Amino acid sequence: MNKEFQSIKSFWNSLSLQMGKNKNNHDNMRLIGPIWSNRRGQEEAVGFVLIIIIVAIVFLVMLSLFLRQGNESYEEESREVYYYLDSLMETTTECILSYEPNFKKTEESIELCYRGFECLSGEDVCEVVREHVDKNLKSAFNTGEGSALKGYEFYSYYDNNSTKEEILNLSSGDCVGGFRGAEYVSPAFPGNIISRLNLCY
Amino acid sequence: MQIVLNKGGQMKIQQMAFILVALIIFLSMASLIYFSIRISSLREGANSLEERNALENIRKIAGLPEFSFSSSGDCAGCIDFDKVLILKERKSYKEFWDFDYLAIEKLEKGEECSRENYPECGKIVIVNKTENFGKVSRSFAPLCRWENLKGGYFKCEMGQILASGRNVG
Repeated sequence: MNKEFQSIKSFWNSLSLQMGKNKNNHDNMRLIGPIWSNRRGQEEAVGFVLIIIIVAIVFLVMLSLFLRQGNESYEEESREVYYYLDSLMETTTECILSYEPNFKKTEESIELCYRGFECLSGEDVCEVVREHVDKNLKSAFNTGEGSALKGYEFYSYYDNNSTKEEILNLSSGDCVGGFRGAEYVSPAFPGNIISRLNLCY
Repeated sequence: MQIVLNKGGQMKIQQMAFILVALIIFLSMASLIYFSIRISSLREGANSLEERNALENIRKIAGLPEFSFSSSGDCAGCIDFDKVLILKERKSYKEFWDFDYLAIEKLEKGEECSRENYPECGKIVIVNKTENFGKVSRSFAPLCRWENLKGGYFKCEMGQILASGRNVG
């Protein structure tokens, strides 16, 4: 700001000196010079401030637009993840209930886990379904080094509008930044079991 | 006095012109940056729409009668892996599919399926018209088949449909 002001001042000083070389103008310059250059300086300063303000406003508008776009794309519902959950719920687990070969699907097993059932083998349904989901997630999503996917988190909970109870919770890798995810709802009277998978990038 | 004012006016006009030019350059640069950001976000949007379209088109394959699993319960998106193995061998279907590449595979990797190694295999390639089939899109789908163990039951495993071609998107 000071540098700008000094350059403007020196410019007008040199202009005054050039005009002063003409003897006829020299006397007149002496009369109007100080008032004139003072006003010019003020005008220049106001113009400069105005330009700075305009630049700052334009910069802020662009920055806000840019940041808003970034946030939008970072947390989104994904059809691909939904299709994955939809498929996972249809897969057959290793848990047999009551008689052979009554193998239960993942969706049914999660509900049986919530209701506290045991498999025919005596294993806890929750443990069997946890292993099954974990194995499937690991084979579908690589969260290792060099992968675009930083991690994932899967959780199931029972929700009947008044209470929420956690059933399963699995995660791998780092889930700090943005994610793409989806929810799968299965009815479990009187409420619903909601399973959610988030893929973190 | 008159000369001084004239020169001052000229300078003022000149300065104003410089400021206007600078402002125009600045605004055009700002708008250039803004539009480049907008265009890149539009491009991203177009890409994600294209991907979604491809995903939906692939998902439709699971609903085709040649692939769908209808033997047990209600499973709208399930693929009958046994049926696909038979379909692969049918010569009348060779030119039926408008894809450059179409395969159904289990998530647990394995070699290509044949009557000899089925079901201990990982993949059934139905169409493979060319070596350069370009970008392959995928969608997850459960693969169901008849398992002979423990009296026999339908077993569904995680799998995916892989497809490439004009119709995919």
